[in-house]
Amino acid sequence: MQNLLEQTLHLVDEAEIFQQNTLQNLVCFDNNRLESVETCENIGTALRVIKDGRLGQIATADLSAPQELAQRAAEIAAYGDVVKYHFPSQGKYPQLALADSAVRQQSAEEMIACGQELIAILREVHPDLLAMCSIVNDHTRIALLNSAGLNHAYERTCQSLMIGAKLTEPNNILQIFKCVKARHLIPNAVAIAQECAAEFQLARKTVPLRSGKYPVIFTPAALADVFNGFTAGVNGAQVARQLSPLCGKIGEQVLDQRVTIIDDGLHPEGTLTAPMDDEGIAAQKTMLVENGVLRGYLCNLKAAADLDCPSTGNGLRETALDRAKSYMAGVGLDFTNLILSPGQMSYAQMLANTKLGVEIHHITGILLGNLTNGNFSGNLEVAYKIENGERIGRIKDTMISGNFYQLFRERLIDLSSEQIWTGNFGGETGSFLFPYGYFADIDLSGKE
Amino acid sequence: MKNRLEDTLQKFKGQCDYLEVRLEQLSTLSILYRGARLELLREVQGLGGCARAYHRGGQAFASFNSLDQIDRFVAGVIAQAKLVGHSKTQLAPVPPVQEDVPAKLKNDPRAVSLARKIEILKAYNDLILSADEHIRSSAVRYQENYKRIYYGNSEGTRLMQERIDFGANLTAIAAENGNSQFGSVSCGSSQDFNALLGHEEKLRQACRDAVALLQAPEVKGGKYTVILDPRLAGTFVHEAFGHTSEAEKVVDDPHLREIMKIGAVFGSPVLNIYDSGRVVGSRGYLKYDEEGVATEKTYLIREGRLVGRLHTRETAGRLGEKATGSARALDYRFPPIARMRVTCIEGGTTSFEEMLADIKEGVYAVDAFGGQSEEMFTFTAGRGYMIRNGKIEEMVRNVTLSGNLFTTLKNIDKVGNDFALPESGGGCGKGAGGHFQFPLPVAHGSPHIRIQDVIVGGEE
Repeated sequence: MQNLLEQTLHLVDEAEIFQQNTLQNLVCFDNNRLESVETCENIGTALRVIKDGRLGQIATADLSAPQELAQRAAEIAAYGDVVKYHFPSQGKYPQLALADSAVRQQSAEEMIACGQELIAILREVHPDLLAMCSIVNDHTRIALLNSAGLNHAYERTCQSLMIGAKLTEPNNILQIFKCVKARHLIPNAVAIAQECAAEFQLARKTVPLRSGKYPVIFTPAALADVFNGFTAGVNGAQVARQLSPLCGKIGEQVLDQRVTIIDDGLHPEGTLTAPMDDEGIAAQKTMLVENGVLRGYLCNLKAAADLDCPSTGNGLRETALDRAKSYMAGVGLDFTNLILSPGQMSYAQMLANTKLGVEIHHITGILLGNLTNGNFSGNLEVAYKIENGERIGRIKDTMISGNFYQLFRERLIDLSSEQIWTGNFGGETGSFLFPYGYFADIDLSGKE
Repeated sequence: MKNRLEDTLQKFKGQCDYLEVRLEQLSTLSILYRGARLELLREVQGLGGCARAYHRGGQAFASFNSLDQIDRFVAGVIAQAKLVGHSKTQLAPVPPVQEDVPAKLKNDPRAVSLARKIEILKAYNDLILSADEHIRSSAVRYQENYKRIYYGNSEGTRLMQERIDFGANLTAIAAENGNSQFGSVSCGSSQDFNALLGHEEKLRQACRDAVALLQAPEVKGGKYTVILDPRLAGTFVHEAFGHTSEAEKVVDDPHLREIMKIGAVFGSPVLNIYDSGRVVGSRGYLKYDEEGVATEKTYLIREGRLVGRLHTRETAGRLGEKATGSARALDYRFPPIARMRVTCIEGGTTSFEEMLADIKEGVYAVDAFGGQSEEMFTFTAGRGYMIRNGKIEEMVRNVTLSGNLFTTLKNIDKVGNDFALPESGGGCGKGAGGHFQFPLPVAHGSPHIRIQDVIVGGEE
């Protein structure tokens, strides 16, 4: 790395080298059977340079010709974006123990046995369903070096579990799955499988729902989906482009006063907790919304330069959709571990208070459409009708549409007192610590 | 690379039921203008390999960058396949082939200088940004992919394939009072760089559409007769039916196998759907898939009946059907899974005017933002127009369409005579086996189609 840095600095003004070494072990069960066992090594280097105030970026899995790589980066920089920042010097990085040898050392046989146990729980309750389960163990080492003297490395592990089942009948496909991940071996996998089996029981019965406005409970996972509108809004790059509805609203009441939202890059349980972001900025805890008042935006170096504020340590290299850490991706801007404050009401009370309403677990299509405005819409893929405080069955063929800001400003009944970790399946992606959300007057349109 | 591949295959063949190795060199160039800025300009060079083994029905896969460690990874993959396998390996038989398939290009994108590419994209970007005072920003995105793939398997197939494609999406973003709206033009090719040129007039129209959408009312939620334009209909066939045709879902699911039985009626006799790897010049073109199987034009629906599906050798083998050359992987980091190539609703006989004529109240949905499907599919139109008494009237926004997979295909009652295959940037994403592979170059085409009883989302 040092050698590549020196070679590059002959050609450019500033340089940064990001090196990733990930080993991923995966077992996958599908349709009740062990489908595949995989080992994936992902080693690569990304080089960013600044020459005459412009940025050049290149990434490679082949370091056999460092001189040519440096040359090409310098060539690209001639056309690159004008940058108003410099690569940072060494920060004060917290000492964090992020790598768990139990994750690293778990053998394929042990992973298979774990998956078999979970599949058996689902099949025991429902012999006719098709169970699926994937377990991914990631071990990643990140090293960062730049021309401002920064030189830091860390290791991190992550275990990611997806468990679920599907049932296909004429005119009915039911698929329920749960995703959970942790930096350690997931302790409550059995409980999650049991919860999944219980939910399947409920979901097998389909009940009708008339189009209209209903009180709705969002599970923490469903609430996290709706939050895509918010994370787009507090994204400093979107703010700098003046496309965010939160532009110029720091200090203003933008959400209900019971809502507090924090991006916590240091949370001991978070899967994206790290000493630094992928640009070398020390990880931090960023208050985004405090009691409904907008306090800040998320920034990487570029957005920070545009907004004339410090980076919040959210410069992350992730691929676009699965948001997995990758040297192949450019430095983007995203949240780390997003924390939504709890409310007063318990989940059980929310349910008990609902005479006629809906509990939403999974919405499809929610990432489509105009996210920055906070708008969302999609199909209720997994949702249950609530009657007199009880979930009575699954509703189908129903669409939801709404707007994040309206939801959290005008329609919030309460957030639950309990919070649950949730996140997308796949290692090395951001996670959410969220309560259940209880809202009034949500538009649902369906067949009837 | 060829020698390394050959040595490894010779060394390990016979140790398991089936072994394949892929070694890839790849490069991608990404350019993105957002607003006035050239926000992203990066090149990625890849070099890596993967091995996949089957033994007694069990599959294992390993991918790696340390090519000097290839033997260690191959030995590991064989040991893991033995851990998984407890039955019988059933791969559909295909003839072994040996061929070098260099890219055949009209105009090679790699021969065009970076300076020229940037000049072209900047001109489009400038056009967008100067089109109207309400245009606040832009997203002009270009991606070019080059791959050289060396493939060999234990049955004697040896292939070298070169693949090149590029795609571009040119998007205008209009904004006013916290409301933002888009208009876009897309293009792409696996053969001709010049497909990137000459989109100025369409782009001006896209800018006008984005600005007009700012004032357009939101569509009233409800159930409508909907006409889809070819681009949106292509997205629809990809999302609503294409993914369901990918055979791994069917293999182990007795209920789905019953529903997806060859011969089952899925639509009216006007409906024909195919998926083809042989559309020369399209981003979905490929001669051999990632299992070394020659691609073909696979009919999925003929005259409303199910006649085929998209297979890997394993899914075809286990269902006793023929391999279709549909096993694709994004790159060496991923195992091949059943994927689409170029998915189309075949042209019919109805003119656009005939389709409109008897609609009392409906929606004409145009351009695609994207879509997603499970049993219920959802896709979002770029914009819509209300149809009243056979006439296209005011523009409406937030047109999100959804429906049940099993009933919606049956509700297609008219298929237009104006087939088009619009290419675009981006690609298809699919999760399987714990991976998410995106963006795989694909394309989809269709004429205008009319569907009865589609749920359109929006405020009531």
